[in-house]
Amino acid sequence: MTRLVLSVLLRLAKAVGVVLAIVLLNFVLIRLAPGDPASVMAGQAGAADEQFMAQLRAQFGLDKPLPAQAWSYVSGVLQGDLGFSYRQGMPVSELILDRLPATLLLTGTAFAIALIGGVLMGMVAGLNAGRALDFIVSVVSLLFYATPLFWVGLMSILLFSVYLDWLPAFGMTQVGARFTGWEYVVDVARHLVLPATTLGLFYMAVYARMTRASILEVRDMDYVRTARAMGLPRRRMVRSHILRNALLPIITLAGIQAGQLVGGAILTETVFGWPGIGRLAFDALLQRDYQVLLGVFFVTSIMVVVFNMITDLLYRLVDPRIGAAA
Amino acid sequence: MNPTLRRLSRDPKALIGFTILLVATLSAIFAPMLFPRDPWAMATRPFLPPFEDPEFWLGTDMLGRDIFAGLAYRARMSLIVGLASTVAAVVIGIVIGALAGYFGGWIDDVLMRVTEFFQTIPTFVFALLMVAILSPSMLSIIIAICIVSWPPVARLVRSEVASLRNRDFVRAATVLGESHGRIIVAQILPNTLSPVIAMASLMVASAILTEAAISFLGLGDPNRMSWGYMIGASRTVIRQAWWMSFFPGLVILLVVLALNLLGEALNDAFNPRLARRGRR
Amino acid sequence: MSAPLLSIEGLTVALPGGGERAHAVRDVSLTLARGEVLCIVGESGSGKSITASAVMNLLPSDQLRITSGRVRYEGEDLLTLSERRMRRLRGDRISMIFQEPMTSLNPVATIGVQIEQVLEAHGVPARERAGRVQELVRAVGLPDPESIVKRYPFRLSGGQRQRVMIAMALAMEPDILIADEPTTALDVTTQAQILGLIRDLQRDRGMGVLFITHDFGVVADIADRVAVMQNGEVVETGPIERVLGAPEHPYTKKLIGAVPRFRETQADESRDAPILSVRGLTKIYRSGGLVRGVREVRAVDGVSFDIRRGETLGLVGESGSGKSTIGQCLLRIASVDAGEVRFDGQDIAHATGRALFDYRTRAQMVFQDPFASLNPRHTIGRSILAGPLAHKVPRPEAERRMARLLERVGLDAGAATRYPHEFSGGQRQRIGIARALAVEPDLLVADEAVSALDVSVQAQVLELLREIRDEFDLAMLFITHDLRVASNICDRVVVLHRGKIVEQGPVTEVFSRPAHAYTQELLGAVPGRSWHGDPQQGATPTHPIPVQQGATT
Repeated sequence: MTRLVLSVLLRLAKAVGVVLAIVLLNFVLIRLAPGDPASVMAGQAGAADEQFMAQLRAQFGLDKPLPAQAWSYVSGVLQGDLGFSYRQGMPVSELILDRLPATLLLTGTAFAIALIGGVLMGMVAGLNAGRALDFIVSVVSLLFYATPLFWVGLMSILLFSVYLDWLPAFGMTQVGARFTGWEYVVDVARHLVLPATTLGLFYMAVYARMTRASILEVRDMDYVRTARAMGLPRRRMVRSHILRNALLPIITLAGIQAGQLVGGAILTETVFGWPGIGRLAFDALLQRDYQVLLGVFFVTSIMVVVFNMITDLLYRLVDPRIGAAA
Repeated sequence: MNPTLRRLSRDPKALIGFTILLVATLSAIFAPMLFPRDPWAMATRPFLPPFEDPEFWLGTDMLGRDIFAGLAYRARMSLIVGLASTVAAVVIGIVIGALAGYFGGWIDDVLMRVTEFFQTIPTFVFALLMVAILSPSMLSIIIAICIVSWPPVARLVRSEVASLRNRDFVRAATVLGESHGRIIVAQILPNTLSPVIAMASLMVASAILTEAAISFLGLGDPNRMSWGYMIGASRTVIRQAWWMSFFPGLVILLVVLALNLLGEALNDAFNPRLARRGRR
Repeated sequence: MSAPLLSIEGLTVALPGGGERAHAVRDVSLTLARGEVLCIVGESGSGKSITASAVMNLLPSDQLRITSGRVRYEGEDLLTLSERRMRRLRGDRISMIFQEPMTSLNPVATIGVQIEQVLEAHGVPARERAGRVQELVRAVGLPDPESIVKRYPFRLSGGQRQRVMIAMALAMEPDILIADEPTTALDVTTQAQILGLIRDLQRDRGMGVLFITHDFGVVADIADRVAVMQNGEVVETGPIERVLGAPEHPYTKKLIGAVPRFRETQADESRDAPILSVRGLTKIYRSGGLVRGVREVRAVDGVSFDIRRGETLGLVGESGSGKSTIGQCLLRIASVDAGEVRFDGQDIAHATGRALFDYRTRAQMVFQDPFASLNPRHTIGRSILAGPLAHKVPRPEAERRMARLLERVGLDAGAATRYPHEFSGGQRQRIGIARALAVEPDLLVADEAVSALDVSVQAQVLELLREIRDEFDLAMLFITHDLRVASNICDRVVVLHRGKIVEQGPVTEVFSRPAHAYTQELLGAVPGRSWHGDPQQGATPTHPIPVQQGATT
């Protein structure tokens, strides 16, 4: 038990290290930008007033040597100060916290769709390798994999909302309507269908390919041959020998990929006008509002780190080889 | 003929992929000859739907410019970015992976922590941020894509090198007194090349997708427009002119599909035993 | 004679097109009687394992297709049974165990569950299963039955895992057990235990056992009857005494003649001063880290020995004894943690730069795996020339050396322009020897250099090593797990156990009068002692076989 605690602590320490490194990376990026960091931060096009510029210079301690600047920036971020968006007239952390639930809803739904759909597809393909079903699933997942995400979004808007008029294409709730309770949930869910599916498709393909490859690898293992030689029924063999071993590594891989889902959210939220931090990032991009961009990068990185930690611990609990050793 | 090439030439996946890529590359190179008219100038009436005028087969955009010609001219940016960023990423990945895998110990620890870090951060957000801060240009896009895509190469090369390093032929070279540099370059790296080549083909594909996404969000090189930019620019008029975003997307899809097919075919050709497994 | 339990009639298995041979197995006919152990013995590629898998209908059908023949069991042809009916027979009436204990059990299911699944698959009611699992675990001699069933395979040793597999195979008390090289991956003492277990269980239950092996020692220990296979065909069958004692087919004679035997006469001892003196050599492997705490394994622990020119010193021991690590330390592929390695008077244990580089021309190695020891992308010539060229030998001189060495190891000069995959395992091992000799070393370390080779090839390579040692007046360190091979080629021998030397001395003395209990145990476990002579009793072989040493070509 102490070992488990120790390994959790170690994992936490590692996560803290990664977070620190991300903050430092942010700092390096600011310094990399051409021109006075303060004016970069204030946004190029905007006529930032002198008071704000001075405040920025103080925040970055531009008169101090580089290490001191780095320190004041890092300690600021770690205290939750992600800077101030001059354009929006709000602290970046508030802007992001405001938008975070919408993004979590979108990415969470997309992840669930991708994982369930992808693993099922991969199982069908892997267990029927070489047959027509495998071919169909492989072609479909290859298509999902090769299609630009934003283009799928645009085309699905054309098809499902412009021509067929089945689903709303924009925003998270119907404009003007003030639904409450169950109606509100249904409204959001209807708005969620297209963006979540769009975002999920690419990752569905990723998981499908991983699952198929994993099953093919496990299928040829010696212990599967043993199970056959002992006369185990096919269903038993598939369930307790092939799938258990093939799906375990998917947990870790899914965790790593899930982090990247957040990046895809920027594109999806932009296409569907979903009011999350992706949409926030896009607006910031157009206005060159770097403080917000850096903040979004920081927050999404934290999401990835947390997610990886969860899947890592989950894997430790599920895999007897690690669980028993801990 | 080399058995790998022979297997490749018999694989329909490789043939389809190769043909599509050849067409795309040739049209990128010969665009000025195929479409002598200035692609940025108005050619006919705006919003001409496709398949109506045989001269403008894929229709025109809001300024009356030929979509077909645009696709050919803009292939260049997409392909160059995909190729250049991949080459750079592969070089970085090989150097880091080879050092980590060969020397092991603390060198491996440090390099792998760095690699893991770059794999952990959300790559697309980071690429966007870099392009935005370095100010959008072809070079900054190439750099950004390269920086987010080398880690998988480094990990692949590291694991290959680490396993080859303990192979008897490498030990034999050590015992014979060959230098570390020679052992890495002459004995080990050539044996890691096949999976790296297959991976590179897939990387070009995802680099093209990333470039398209960056341009779609309006961060493309303002002087060298790409397919992604075409889609981004026509997003606002999608209800009037579906073809303006449909065809560029289709072209991206085809090229990325082709690279994926080629990558899979390369993998199969390099590992005939593994490939056969899937067809049992 | 009563009807056989199992009879294989005219079995032919086709290989996929384009290969050297059209058939993996051709027209094989064998019978197995109740209560009998039939050994199929042969070298790699003889088709012995494919024959075994064909009986169970476990061949990968896309690569190996049964084109004709019948496998009769209880009046039915197994080859025509539906997969459904065959599944019911497998594990119930006919069971099979395999070679690799480390990978043959499901890593994410407990031992108990895996044994129970076999019972469940063949309809044993749930309430009886737990008790049956306990009985089985006891029957195969696993320690601590109550708690071991809750363990996962990774916690068990190779021998224990093999016992688990035997428990699974015997769960339904089958009529037939097929054992495909079940002891090949095990250490010799574990092998002896597992062979004893199989023999005991077979006698108790009156099973028919089809036992596949490449080792005539194992055959001598376990078989009632023997079938010898070569290139997919059975060349000879008969009772054990007849086949081992008076083989008829030339191939059988050749195989038996090539089996290394314990030697009784000692060669003259070299009187030179030692060229290599090892004193207190120690190598520690550290693993783990913050979470599990640092664990130290003393892979080599204070080992001392000498080697002289013209002498072969054997390092013998089981896996984990540290024998290979010593070889790597001597050649500085692994670092040395403590102790001295004096070569020609100089301590090279920590040499660097020029001193280490110069040492590299004087000490060389021949490796175990002939398929991994040559760079697949380099021509043979490039591999052999690499050493001399690295040491600034002029190219014409290096090429002259190469031509001479290729001829010496029995390859033609044209070999230099070809690639490794064009050569057989034995030929590659010869190339490896030529490569080592190309820098004109004084010390040659052979690390399990013949362990991966078939027995007939093994004899030839051993003979070559012996010859070049004399011709080039080399000091040779021969690392092996096989005491028969060691007895055959070594002058003196060092016995290692868990990193420490338990005994050393002239090979005939150590093997005929072992002083240490561990050496006695090792020697006692060597398969086929009753057949090819027990050195402890100084006995001559019990069968009148012409004792040939070394090459038979």
